[in-house]
This record gives sequence, structure tokens and C-alpha cells, in this order.
Amino acid sequence: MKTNDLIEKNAELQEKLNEENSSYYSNLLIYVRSVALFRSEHDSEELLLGILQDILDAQNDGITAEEYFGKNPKQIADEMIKNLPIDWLEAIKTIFTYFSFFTLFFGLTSLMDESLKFDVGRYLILLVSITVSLRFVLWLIGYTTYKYKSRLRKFTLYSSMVLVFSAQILIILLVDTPLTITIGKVLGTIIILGILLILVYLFIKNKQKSLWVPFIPIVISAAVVGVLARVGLLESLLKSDKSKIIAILSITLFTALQYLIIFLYNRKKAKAQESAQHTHCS
Amino acid sequence: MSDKLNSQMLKGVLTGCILILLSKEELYGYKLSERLSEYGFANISNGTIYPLLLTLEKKHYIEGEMRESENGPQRKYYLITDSGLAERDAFLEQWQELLQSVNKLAGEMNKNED
Repeated sequence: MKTNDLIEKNAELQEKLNEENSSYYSNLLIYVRSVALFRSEHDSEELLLGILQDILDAQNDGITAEEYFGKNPKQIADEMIKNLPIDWLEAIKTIFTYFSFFTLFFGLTSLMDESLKFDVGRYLILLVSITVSLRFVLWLIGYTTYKYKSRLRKFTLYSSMVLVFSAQILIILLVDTPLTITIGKVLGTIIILGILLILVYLFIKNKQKSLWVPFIPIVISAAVVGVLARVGLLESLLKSDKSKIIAILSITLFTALQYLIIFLYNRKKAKAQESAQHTHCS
Repeated sequence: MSDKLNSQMLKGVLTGCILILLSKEELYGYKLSERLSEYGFANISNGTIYPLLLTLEKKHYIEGEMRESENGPQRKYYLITDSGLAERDAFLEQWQELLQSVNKLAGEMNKNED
């Protein structure tokens, strides 16, 4: 089966799990999907689906997921992941997508500088910093999945992501290196659009990467503001001293707005599903 | 079987048993754990068979194939390969030797205690 189908089937079947088993299995799912990031997604999804089907069989026989699978899912998951092949092509695609995404976002905020200077040194520092941060967050997800209760875990993850994000913003605002180059307006716009195209292409091809969906608003915001800036529409705003801060703020606000919309939409959808289930049950 | 059995040993023994079972019929995860229970492996948590299946697949001792199951949905069935059969036989040989040695020791131990 194709990876996409595996993931779809998985989501479908998860609905059949009872509450206890659902929480057991979704922990396993989150853990494996995070920790096995660069392993073959097809193999890991096939494995996860098989386990889900077996847990459902056990559920039908009155056996809980914990009774069936055991009290050490993390240990078992680690062993399974060790046996999954590393998918170099996927890894490179992922890294490249992340790299382009990062360049797009960062490039835009700095290309909006009136002097049209691009601080290559700061770019490289940020690249390292974000790579380390992402690696840390990924590890944190794996670590907290089986150590902390749901509330504490969510809090830990969100606060560390906020911290990490703020750290990057601070670097953008405060770090200046002598390693700068000048990029003209036209060239800058071309670069922005080029990167955007690459990202869109990769995203379309890579539909299984639902992991990237949350980042779409950021990319859209960054691209829009970036192109507008280059095209001269935001010139007056950007001529001020606080241009960098304004750029980041506007992108952040625009992004937050999109997330808010997505959040409200999801909530509405969930409520609709709930009421549909209730009418179905009664 | 007591679940205090040394886990490394259990893994080796389980692996051998999985090969034996798969040489008799093609099975998917849940069915395999049911068979193992029938033969007395009821106390092991079935989660441990999954990494073992992956290892066996990696070594090409077994192969996975998506097939329609009895109730309909596609499941991943495992089949034993030729090298898997050879590995199974090697396991059985080792097991026989081990069994004989341990029984001999245990027999003498009982004699000494009489």
C-alpha cells in the first residue's frame, strides 16, 4: 500500500479504539513518528498500521492495548525503530524542504532591510541555531511522550517551542556580522518566488508530510510580506528605523491570524462531528 | 512460562519459535501472538514480537505480504523464506543440544540432592 493510504487507513481505524486504548496507541504513534523522522516513512507507517489492527483485534477480544502490547511500549518502540531502514532520499528531501523554508522566512525578514543588505553571517548562525533547536524539540517530543502526563507534556512542548522561537527572533534582532552581501530588489523578488515555487512543488509531491502543514501560514505570511516589501508597497513603513521589528511583527501577526482561523475552523468541525455522533448514538 | 525468564534468552527462543510457527502457516501479528499463547507463551507481552518480526524480515528469514484476511481487511502476512527454514533448523539443532545439556545437569543435581 502507498504511504498515504497507510496513513489514511490508520486515522480511520484509530476512531474504533476505545478511550483507554486510543490514548495508549496515540502515544505510541506520536513517539514513533517523531523519533523515526529520517527512517523510511513507508516502513514505519506499515508497522504502525499493523500494530493498530492487532490492537483492535485484541480490543474485540476484550484485551486492552496495554495488556496486549505490554507495559513497556517505549522500549519496544525503540527496538522497532532501530530496525527501520534510514531513508536517505527522504532525509535529504526533508532537510532541503526545511532549508528552503528557513531561507524563505529568514531571507524575507532581512531582505526587507532598506539597504538591501543580506547578512550571510547571521543567516548561517541562525541556520545552526534553528537546526539545534529543532533537534532539541524533536528529542523533547520523544522524551515527554512517555514520561509526562498529557497536560504537563503539552505545557513543556509549547513553552519550549516559544522559547526556541523567541531565541531565533532575538538572534535576528541583535546579531550582526560583517559577512554581508547586497541583493537588488529584482533579484531578491526572484529568489523569494523561486524558493516559494520549490516549496510548493515539494509539498505537493510530499503529501504525506502532514507534519509541515502547520508551517504553511508562516510561509504564506513571509512570502506575502516579502514580495509586498520588494514591490514597494510597504516602503514608507520600512523606511523607519524599526523596520526589522515591524517586519517580524507583521509576519507574526499575520501568521497568528491564520492560526486563529485554522483553530476556530477545527473547533467548529470538531463540534459538528460531536453533535453528529450524539444524534447517531441517540 | 514464567515471565522472569531472562529476556535475552527469551528473545532468542521466541525468534526460533516464530520461525517454527511461520514454517507451518502464514500469519499476521495478532494471529501469531494467539498461536504463541496456545503453546504456552501466554505471559509474554505480545509487543515484544514486533521488533523480532522486523529483525527476521531484515535478515530475509521471513517476508511480509499484504493479503486479505478472513474478515476482509488487508493485513500484513508473514511467510518464511528458504533461508528462514535453514535458520529454523539451525535453531532446533541448537535447542536440542541445549536441552540435553541442561537436562543432564538438572538430572545430576537432583541425584545429588537425593
